[in-house]
Amino acid sequence: QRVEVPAEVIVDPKFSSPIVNMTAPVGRDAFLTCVVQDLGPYKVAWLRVDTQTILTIQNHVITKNQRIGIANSEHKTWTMRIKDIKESDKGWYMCQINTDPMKSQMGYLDVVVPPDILDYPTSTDMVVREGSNVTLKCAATGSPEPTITWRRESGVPIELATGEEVMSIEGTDLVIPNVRRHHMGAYLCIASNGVPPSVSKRITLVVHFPPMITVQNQLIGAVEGKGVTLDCESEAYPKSINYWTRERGEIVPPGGKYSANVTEIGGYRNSMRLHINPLTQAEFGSYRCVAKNSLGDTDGTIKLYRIPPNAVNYVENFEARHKGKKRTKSSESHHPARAQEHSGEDMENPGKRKADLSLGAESIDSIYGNSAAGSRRRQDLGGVLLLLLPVAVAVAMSLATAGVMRETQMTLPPQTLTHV
Amino acid sequence: MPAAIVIVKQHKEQQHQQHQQQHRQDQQDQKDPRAAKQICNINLCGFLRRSGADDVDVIEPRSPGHAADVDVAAAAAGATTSVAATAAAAAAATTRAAATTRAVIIIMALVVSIMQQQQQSLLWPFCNGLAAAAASTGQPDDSGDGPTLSTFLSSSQSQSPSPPAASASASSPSSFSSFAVAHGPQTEATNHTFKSLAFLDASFGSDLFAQTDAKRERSGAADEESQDADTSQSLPIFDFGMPRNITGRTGHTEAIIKCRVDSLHDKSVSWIRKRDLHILTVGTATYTSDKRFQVTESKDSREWTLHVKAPLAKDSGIYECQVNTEPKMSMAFQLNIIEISPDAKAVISGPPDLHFKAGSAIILNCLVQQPSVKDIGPIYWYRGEHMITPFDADDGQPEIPAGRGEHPQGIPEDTSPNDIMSEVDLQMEFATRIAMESQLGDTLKSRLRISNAQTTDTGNYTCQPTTASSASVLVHVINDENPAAMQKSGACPCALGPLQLLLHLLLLPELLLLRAGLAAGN
Repeated sequence: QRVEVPAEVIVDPKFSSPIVNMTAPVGRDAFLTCVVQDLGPYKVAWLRVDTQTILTIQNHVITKNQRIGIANSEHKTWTMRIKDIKESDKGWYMCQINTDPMKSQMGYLDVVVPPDILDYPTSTDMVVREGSNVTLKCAATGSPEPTITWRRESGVPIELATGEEVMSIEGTDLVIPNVRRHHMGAYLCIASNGVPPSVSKRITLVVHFPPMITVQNQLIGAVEGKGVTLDCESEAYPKSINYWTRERGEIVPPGGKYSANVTEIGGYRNSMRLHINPLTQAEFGSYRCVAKNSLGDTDGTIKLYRIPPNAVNYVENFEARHKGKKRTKSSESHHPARAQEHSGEDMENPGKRKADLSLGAESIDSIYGNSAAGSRRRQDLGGVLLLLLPVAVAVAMSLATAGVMRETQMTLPPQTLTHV
Repeated sequence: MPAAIVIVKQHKEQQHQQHQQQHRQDQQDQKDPRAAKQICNINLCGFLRRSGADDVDVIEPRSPGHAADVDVAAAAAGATTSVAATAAAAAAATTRAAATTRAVIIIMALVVSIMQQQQQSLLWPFCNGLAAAAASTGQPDDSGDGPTLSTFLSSSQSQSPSPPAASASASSPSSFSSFAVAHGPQTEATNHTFKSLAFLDASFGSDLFAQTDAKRERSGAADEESQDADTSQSLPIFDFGMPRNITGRTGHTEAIIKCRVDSLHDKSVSWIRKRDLHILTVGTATYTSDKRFQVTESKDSREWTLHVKAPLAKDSGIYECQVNTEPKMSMAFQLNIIEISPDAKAVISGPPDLHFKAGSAIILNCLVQQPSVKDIGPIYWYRGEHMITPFDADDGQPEIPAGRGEHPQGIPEDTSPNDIMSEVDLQMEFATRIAMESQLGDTLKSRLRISNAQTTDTGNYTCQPTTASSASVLVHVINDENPAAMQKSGACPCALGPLQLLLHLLLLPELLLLRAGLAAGN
């Protein structure tokens, strides 16, 4: 009698509600729930539709996949769990009741993958010449397919090919035709697909171009006995060597009344300043600011002229006179006076020239110290020293011939220096 | 108690009368108890084996529907179920209060925990328990054949033998025996009864897949042993030689799809219907509610056969044999069910029951009627479930029918070499007396002739054409000496009816010819 099972009325089971589709990221646990009503003696099974694999039947896991689990609540809610889901687990799953005919319903498991930027074919840091065309590439994987957004660091806008500037732009390729120096900087490739975390990669764009000099004031007047500052601006990348020279080509010696420094304004912009204090007759004349890097060199010229000591009266008279005469005549009047003074100086002080030569050497060291040169600077330093060697030889020769010829021989050394 | 004893005796008498070969099986059963003794060193183990074999038969008449389950449970649980069967027989005449079942449940939990701790010696807890019961009831341990079922059930004798020596760990047996001794003899027997009954309930539970779990656990243990020899298991291997395009017909008994897998180890084989992803079977359990689908497993667990009974045209499609590896391994089979015309059928001449004298020849004529279909196919004869194959001298020995050993009603036991030879001899002797003639043309006919009929030839004979539904006839072979058979032979004149009709039909043309001759004469 114990073995006999009492007769029961078996109701046909049915699904109380459809399977709720689930979205889960890789590595998490996923759950699909099948709600059954009036199960009775029938059985519930879970299958994988894509591969047509039997997963579970009632409370038994049939598959040898260790990540599959099954749980039920009062034989009504049958929850299949997949641990540590992989992208290959994405697909349709079927919940089946073994009625005749069989009843089933399906649910979809969507597996999402956070984005990941691929090392290939994503661009790396690039060094290009100004004027060329540049294309930055960025590729990423993820599920759903990630969106690529380009941005510049520090909020600098991106200049499009049309000249328009935007803060960000979408697309795997960022095209910059006819690249300019202001395009230089760090670009961020940001990949996102709605699944955290978003990832980004930093790509540095380096633009090489030869030096360029800008002179704000090409003509400066100063009162003898006072101080004056000459100012030039240079742009160059790679960074340039900057120094000052006089009209005959000799390098302005640092120390004493001369003080020169180079200040970095922006990424590739420098400011050159030369302070002269106090001013004497010898300091008036032309000065040149020079910038030089591996791609080329350039210079700018500044003229320094003398103002009489009575600044108030002479300034007014000079301006009145200047308005009445042409520019060319005034320059000619300056030239012969300078020539006479120069010749007198040479005859009176032959020993001073040697002192100038030694000061020149100190000036070179001072300039390079101010520019904070690295290993590259040292290589450039050697090059400049080689260039200066002929200058020293020329000066020595001029000293040797000074005693033999007077007026005619004096003109030869300056010409030689000019050629160098 | 007495009722159970009577039932057992009657069943044994029937067995002796019907099957003489059972004696050989009994002799073989006697060998097993001796092996069991060596394991447990207790005579009661032999008693367990013998009582198990007998009591499965006892349960069978009561619930024929559960016979297959009982066999499966016996195969899965081994001695546990045999004890349950014993208790079931005894419980039929026992009535106890419900409160006692609580104690039984507690004892069962204790036994289960002990079994889990000592998986290697599965039989030991029951042997010790029964030994304790024997000690409390005064049952002697020195009996040569071991105590019989009747002596165990009628435990009213009182003697005082010494308790048996324990072969396993020291603490567990003493605690178990002390717990058992704490109760009186009557309570002890009752506890065993209800404890075993609980196992019986578990085995008959509606959860068909518990058996699969039991098999898995056993195979798991086997794997642990095999891993000592091999560091890694080999993957299952499908036999691609099996026919993968099977054709059946709607009028046939069943369509069979066979899937053979080697190196299965702890994996299971499932059958799935591709059309709607309907799971049909998992292991040896049937999942689908459609009763027409069943699965049978060969003895070596390599061949898994899907049976589609009374196939329909809608059953055509792709069926997949799937192994639960990760990822799955599977093989697809194409099943084609051809619908037989409803008017195509086979007819065996004569009445549904045919009677023949022993020593005479059995002749069966099968005529295939298919007026609307012009289709030709071979015609097969079956006796019961087995195909009849005539003896061929060139073959030497005919193959033993595959289904014989898998009969659901039979007890799955290992047959001795003598039994195999005996069966082979019987089959060969039967095959030599068979002759078959088939005529396939405008008319489909087949004639089966069995010479020197024996009483063992009695049975159901079926003619199965390929292109039509089958026909069956019941053949009775009668000895003249038997009085009961004499009464049946009285029906023989009825069989002459068709012959007389045939004679009349044959004479009609001649009569017509005579009349024509007379008319011509005038």
